[in-house]
Amino acid sequence: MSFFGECKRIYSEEMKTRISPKITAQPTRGLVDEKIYIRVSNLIPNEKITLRCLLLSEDNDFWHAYGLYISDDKGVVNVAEDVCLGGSYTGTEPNGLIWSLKPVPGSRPALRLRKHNVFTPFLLNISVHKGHINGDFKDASSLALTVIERWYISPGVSRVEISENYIHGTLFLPPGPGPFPGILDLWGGGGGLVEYRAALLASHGYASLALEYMSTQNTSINVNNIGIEYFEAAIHFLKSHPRVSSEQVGIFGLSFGTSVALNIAAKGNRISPRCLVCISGSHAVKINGTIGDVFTNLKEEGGKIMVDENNHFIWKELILPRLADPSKKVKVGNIKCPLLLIAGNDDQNWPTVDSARDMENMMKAAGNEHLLTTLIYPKTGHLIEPPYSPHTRFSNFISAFNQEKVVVLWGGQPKEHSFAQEDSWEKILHFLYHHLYSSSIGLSKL
Amino acid sequence: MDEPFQLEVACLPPHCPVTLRSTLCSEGNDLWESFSHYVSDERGRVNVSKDDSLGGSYIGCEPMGLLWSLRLAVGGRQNIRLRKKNMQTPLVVDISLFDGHTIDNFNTQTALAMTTMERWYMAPGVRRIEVRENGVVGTLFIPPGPGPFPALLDVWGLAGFMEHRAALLASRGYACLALAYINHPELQLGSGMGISYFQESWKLLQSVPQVSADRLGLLGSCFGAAIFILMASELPDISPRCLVAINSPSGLLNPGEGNYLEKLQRLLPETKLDANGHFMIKDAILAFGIDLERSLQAGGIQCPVLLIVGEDDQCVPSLESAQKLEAQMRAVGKGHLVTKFSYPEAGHLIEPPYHPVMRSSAFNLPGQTVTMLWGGVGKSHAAAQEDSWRRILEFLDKHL
Repeated sequence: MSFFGECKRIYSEEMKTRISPKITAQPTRGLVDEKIYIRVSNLIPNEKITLRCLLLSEDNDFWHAYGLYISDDKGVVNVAEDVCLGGSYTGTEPNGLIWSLKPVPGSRPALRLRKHNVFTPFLLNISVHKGHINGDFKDASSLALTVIERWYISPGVSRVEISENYIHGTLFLPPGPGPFPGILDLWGGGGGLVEYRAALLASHGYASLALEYMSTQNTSINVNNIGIEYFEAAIHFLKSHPRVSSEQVGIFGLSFGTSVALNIAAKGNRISPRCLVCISGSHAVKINGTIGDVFTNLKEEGGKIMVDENNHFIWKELILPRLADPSKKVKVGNIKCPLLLIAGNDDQNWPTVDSARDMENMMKAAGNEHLLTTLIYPKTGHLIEPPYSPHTRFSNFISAFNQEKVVVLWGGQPKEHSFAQEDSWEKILHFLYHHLYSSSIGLSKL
Repeated sequence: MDEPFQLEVACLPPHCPVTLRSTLCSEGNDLWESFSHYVSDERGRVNVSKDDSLGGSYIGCEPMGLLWSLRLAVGGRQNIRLRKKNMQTPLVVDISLFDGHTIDNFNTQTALAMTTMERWYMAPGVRRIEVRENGVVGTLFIPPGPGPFPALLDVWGLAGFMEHRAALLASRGYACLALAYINHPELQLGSGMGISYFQESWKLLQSVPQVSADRLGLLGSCFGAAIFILMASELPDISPRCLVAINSPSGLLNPGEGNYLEKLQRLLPETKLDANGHFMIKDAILAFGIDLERSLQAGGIQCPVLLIVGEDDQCVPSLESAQKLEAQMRAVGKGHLVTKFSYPEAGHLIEPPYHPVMRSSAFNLPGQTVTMLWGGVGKSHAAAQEDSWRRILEFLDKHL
């Protein structure tokens, strides 16, 4: 058999006689925010096994996670119900093999897992290994393997590059004629064009514009010539798009993006969003003039920059002193739309919890606190991403403002941070649905 | 492809009549469509898994109705089976929502909303390998992972070679060789029907490194199943762990005798036509097989056998054939090996779940194309596809 002779493998005697263990993971193709159900069968009863998840990132780094399990009397391991005894996580964690992914030993340091091309999935190889393996899989051959795809975009969503009227970004449209509620999707000081969250929101039925507002390559989107008007133009673009319902446009921000959202909403002019989702940000960043001015201002007037024992930068003290100065804060008392505020109390990058408390006080004094819902998560850091993104406590960061290359401490502990991502996302989707879909007429959702 | 989906509509006014329409554009560029009528509840929602369709391509609570009731659109080609040739791309199904209860002219109306679904035969990680070795022609699908895996030989009837069921079985953990034995351009003339060809395929499958050589099974439909029954019964070197036969004519035909397509063609003048001019070949086969000498003796089978029977099969007298086979096995004390699932109102083409149900379609014979009546009543046939697949997977899981 010439064709097969070349790929002949040697199996151990034991392997030849036992029935092969079988591993299934559902869904085999799903969105990144869908839970996975992993089940292993045909094991020996009460057998020790290790489950391992392996992923090759777009940046060519290997990420992996593993969990130690013992099969039941029927030779079955059901990850959704069974207890993991050690490894990258412990306890009953249905999705632990995804959110606890870390770069494999020997990788480049301070990595963050992000998807650049939303039209290809993350491919996860989930394998079963004999015995309890402690992290070193070099010589461990697997008993069984399955592959699943995790997508940021669902079938039918279309991607449109936008570079007109000086705004630069990517619009993701759900399938169908629309009109759809719209979302302006804003990231933070890392800059560039980050598309995956907007693609995911479009997969949930929202026309979403991922906006680039700090670019190191494109000189027209330089921080020194962009101010609040740029974002207002982006919202206007969404509102006047033929497939967007102009009365149902909201803003979704993280980090600096949150500050932008708050600035726009507090302005109270005709560009008024229907609702806001604000993650890991602060109102103590008022935008007068250009974005460049804001950053310069922060550096000059700000508090101290600290480093931890690993020389990772802690920037939360930078904004903290500004909370005491009303002239430096957005007048959140003027906000007229519902606002969902999300923060982690181990955020080492921005003082998000202090800001949240201060915002609550300001809104109480102004009489609009009924619009505010605050979610504060313990042991959770700055990068509250869609579930089940691996938690990153610190990573390489290049500021789009001054191209400074540092390692930034974001904060958070894996288990609690991952819970925060899962829980907040569910609440975010519910919030968006309530304010952008069900309380409006004329929109139906499939 | 064999996974159910959930479809919900929200944000409608309460008690609002709506139409759901599914469309699919096949590889042959034919448009398939289906539609159903619903009324939203007091919260303005429709849940296809729980609510009743009040009309359209199906009626009642049918969670997967929008798939199995797909039919070729009026104005295009008719009478063709839905076949996917490329296993590495999905079938894309669009589902649209329309206001009111509409039955046609969908293209002139604006949909209220839409969603898109991908249906795959092949799970991620499954490997597809074209096999052209020692005269054997087929496609091998291997699950991801080191193996070794239990394995299956998969064949269809006289319609020819199809990969989709083998791809699905590999996605469920079985190394599966979809075997061509008739009507394939790469088959050497004459070699397709010989017993030695099947013996060669069996040996080939056993020799695949990722296959567990002592855990092989046979799965076939129609004529292919009859061939497998013959093999399992009479060839000592073919020892499957189990055998699945779907609508097999084995009780009445001996596939070892010559060229069956030609024989079928000779049967045609005697074959009755139904009201639409479609060939109901079942009675002709029944008459043909009454001669006991002609029928295949299945008593030599040593392994568990699963028989899937569509009682409304108008092509093959599947029920009579299955009964005969059971009787033969019982006569030699092996009745306990046979498990039979018989579905009233299911026809000949029992495909994997949610496949569009077709009561008749075009069938190619040498020199002519006829329309063959397969049988099967929509809803019941769809339910039979769903249930039989579950039974087949359970049976394979138990014995392999």
